[in-house]
Amino acid sequence: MRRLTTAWDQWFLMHSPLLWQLRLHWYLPLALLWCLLMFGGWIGWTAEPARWMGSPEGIAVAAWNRPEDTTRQAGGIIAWIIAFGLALWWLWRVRIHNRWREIAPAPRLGLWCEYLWGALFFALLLAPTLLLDAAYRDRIQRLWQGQDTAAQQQAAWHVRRWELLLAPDNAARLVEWTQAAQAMQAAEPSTAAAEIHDNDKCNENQRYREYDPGCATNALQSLHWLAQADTDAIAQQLAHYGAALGRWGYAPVRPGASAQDQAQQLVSAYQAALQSPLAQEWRNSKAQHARTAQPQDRARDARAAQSPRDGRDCDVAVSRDPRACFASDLARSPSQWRDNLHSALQQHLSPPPRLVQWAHPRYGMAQPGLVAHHLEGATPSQRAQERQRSSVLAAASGGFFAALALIAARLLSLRQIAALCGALTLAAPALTLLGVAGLANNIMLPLVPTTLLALAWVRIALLRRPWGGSTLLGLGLALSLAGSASVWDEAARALELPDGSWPELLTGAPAVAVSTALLVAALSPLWRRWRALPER
Amino acid sequence: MENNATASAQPAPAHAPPWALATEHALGAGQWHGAWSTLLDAALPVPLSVQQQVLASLDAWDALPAQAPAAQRAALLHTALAAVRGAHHHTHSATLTATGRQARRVQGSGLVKRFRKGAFTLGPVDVQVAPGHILGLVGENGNGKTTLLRLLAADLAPDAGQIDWGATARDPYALRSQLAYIPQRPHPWGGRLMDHLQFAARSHGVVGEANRCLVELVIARLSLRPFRGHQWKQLSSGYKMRFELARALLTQPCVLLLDEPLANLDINAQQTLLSDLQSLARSPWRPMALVLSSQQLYEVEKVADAVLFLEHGHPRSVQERFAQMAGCAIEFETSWPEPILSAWLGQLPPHTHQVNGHTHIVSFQGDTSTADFLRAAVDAGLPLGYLRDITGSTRRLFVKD
Repeated sequence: MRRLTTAWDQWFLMHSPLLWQLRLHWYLPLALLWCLLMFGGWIGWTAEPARWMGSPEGIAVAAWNRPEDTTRQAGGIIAWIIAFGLALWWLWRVRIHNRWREIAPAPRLGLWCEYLWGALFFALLLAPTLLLDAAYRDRIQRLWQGQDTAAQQQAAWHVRRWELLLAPDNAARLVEWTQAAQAMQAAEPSTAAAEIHDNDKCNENQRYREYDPGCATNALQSLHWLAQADTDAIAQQLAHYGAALGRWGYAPVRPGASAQDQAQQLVSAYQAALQSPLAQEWRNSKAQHARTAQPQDRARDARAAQSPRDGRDCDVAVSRDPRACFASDLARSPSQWRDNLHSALQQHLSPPPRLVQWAHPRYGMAQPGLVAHHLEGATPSQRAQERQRSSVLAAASGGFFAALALIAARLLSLRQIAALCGALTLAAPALTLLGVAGLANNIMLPLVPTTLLALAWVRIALLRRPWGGSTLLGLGLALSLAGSASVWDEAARALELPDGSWPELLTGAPAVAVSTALLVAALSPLWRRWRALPER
Repeated sequence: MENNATASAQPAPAHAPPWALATEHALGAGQWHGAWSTLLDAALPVPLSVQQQVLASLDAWDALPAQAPAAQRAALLHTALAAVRGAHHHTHSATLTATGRQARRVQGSGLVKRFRKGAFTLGPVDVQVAPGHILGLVGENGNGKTTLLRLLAADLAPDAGQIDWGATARDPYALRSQLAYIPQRPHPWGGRLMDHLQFAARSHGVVGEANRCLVELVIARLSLRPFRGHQWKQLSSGYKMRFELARALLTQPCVLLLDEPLANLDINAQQTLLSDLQSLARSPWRPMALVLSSQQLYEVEKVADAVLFLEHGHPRSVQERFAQMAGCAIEFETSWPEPILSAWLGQLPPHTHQVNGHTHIVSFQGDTSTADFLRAAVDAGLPLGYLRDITGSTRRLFVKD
């Protein structure tokens, strides 16, 4: 092994001393390996749909803590930590191997070549951090290619709602919810639906709305189908749901049950819930309350009905006994029952499925909430594609900006780096002051970096005095970058490029990155000359 | 000395070049280090295949047990010598000298450098060093030796005067890559030592196997082979300086500038380094202009072709000062108490007497010679711990009147 590494080291020293002295013959393969690990290994491991659609039996799943999201976020954090660590490690090594003191022979554009190699290295280093999410989505979408993921996602939401509605503890409320839904549907179907589902999950999903503009009615529809015993419609949704799960190794817990059987079972469960002792008990309580309620009680109930806390002071999940909520439930008006239905369907905690059970031998019981969430990522959309393009361009451009660190590490002493950082920090308020003085216009602003670079040229090339040369060059370069970014931004605005289009994206970070590369190429000979100046 | 080696040494032909004769002589005297040094110097400009033969001999030499017979060692040296001689015989001398960058005369005239802090001014100084020559810079601390070296290394810009390195100064970067300056405290080398040396050679155009061979020969020439696998921090000051020297040599500089190379070296290391510097500067194939500063006056005087004495930033002409000092000067140490010694010195011809710690320096104004002084001392029974004739030494310039 040692012989191999020595041979590799020697080969690079002889063929490319530039890469060798930057230690990139070790760190570039390391960065490539890093990309391979993340895009091959990590994405390969995480982008397995079955993993994210199930959870162990008996465990409720919270909407804010989905394993898929958590894992992706953890992957992103790990990617940043490792990329940052690798960059620091490289900087430490390259400073140890820093040869600039020796004034080894170098061509005029040698620094630029170093910069471009550094940009490649940093682009590889940053790629997993910037592209991980896009790569994951892309992989998932490829895996689900050919599937009607939007319909499957819709079906998963229906299943989740049925499971919530038909939970045994909701039997009493189901009576009222059905009445409220029917009343709304009868009164003003479109307004009611839009109102009740204003914050519905499917409404939050822009892509979903694009696919199905009528999705706002879906939540009510779940209840209507049950109320109308529309087993065909329910079976169709269950078939979609089953197709999504069956594709990844999930199987019904009750083998042999068709979608139609399951639909029938759901309708039966609904009817059984309405006839359950709890529902009966609720009806009795309600009748008794109607008979005995005094006018002052009704006024109190009306006030309670206007209270924003209405319906939330009694949580079945907390009290465990739905009867404990009867008192507050009795005070609800029909409109409050509508809100109650809304919040019930929106609740973040999804209990384990009881009626529509699919299981995976490894990943446990399929959770309709998780299935819907996963399918959301699997559904392609214009917005996701724009985000993806933007990520790719950001990763490609990131290297160009990060590689400026290479120039600093290669050329400057720690004291000079500190001076440059200080000057950059002071430049920010100075530019603000220019703005306050009304001098921050398109003519005056480019003059600042131009003047700095001209001063650097005079000092280095004409006067051959190094003092301040590095700071002037660095400051000029940094402000030029800010200037070029501003110019490109204005150009994009002037051209009125459509949002998310390639030209619009290209005039962002990539244009500034190319400007950076050109600027470094232009300054490279001057910087080389500065390196050779006495008393530097 | 090993008698076996003398017996096995083959007489050199009459037309043998001086370096071969020197090698043969050292070989005959059993001076292995000297023999290898001369041979390795000669091996630097020869073709790659011959260098590989020399390195093979070196490897075999290193593999020999400590008690290996001298004849075996001599045989190995003879094999290498024959190969190098053959290469020199078959290759035109012009080809040999053209392998590296041509050394040039370095000349500075009217050099002045002013420092505002400390209000120190160096110069005006005139310096001239030809290839194959060594200029020694001497002077007390803070008198401008390092400043002058840094001016010559283009590390400082003169406030007045001109420096001609014999190379174009239009591209200052290219110029600096042709100058080798080794400061008194070199920067530490990170990573492997061999990497640094190979990179230095590679940067100056030596590639492939030739690179490896050249580096191996140079480190062998400077007796660094046992330290190839060491880390920088494991090296003593002397070996650090030698590695710096090896790296400088691999860049084939126009001029080699060394600041206090003898500092922190023991007496043996000083002698070895000076002898190496002398032979490297005067190499018949790649002579080099060499400037070194040092406090070791006597050691510098041994190897330098010229000595520049700096006092308060100004050069003092050694010849003129010596011309003013007509008589001889003697430095000595004795255990006699001051009154007795003064009484005895009072009996001697006219002179000045300075005391520097336990060292006495007597400078005679007339024709008194060192032999006369020594004779008087023996007659008086003066117990002498140390005595040195410094009549022609710059040491006299350090004596405060």
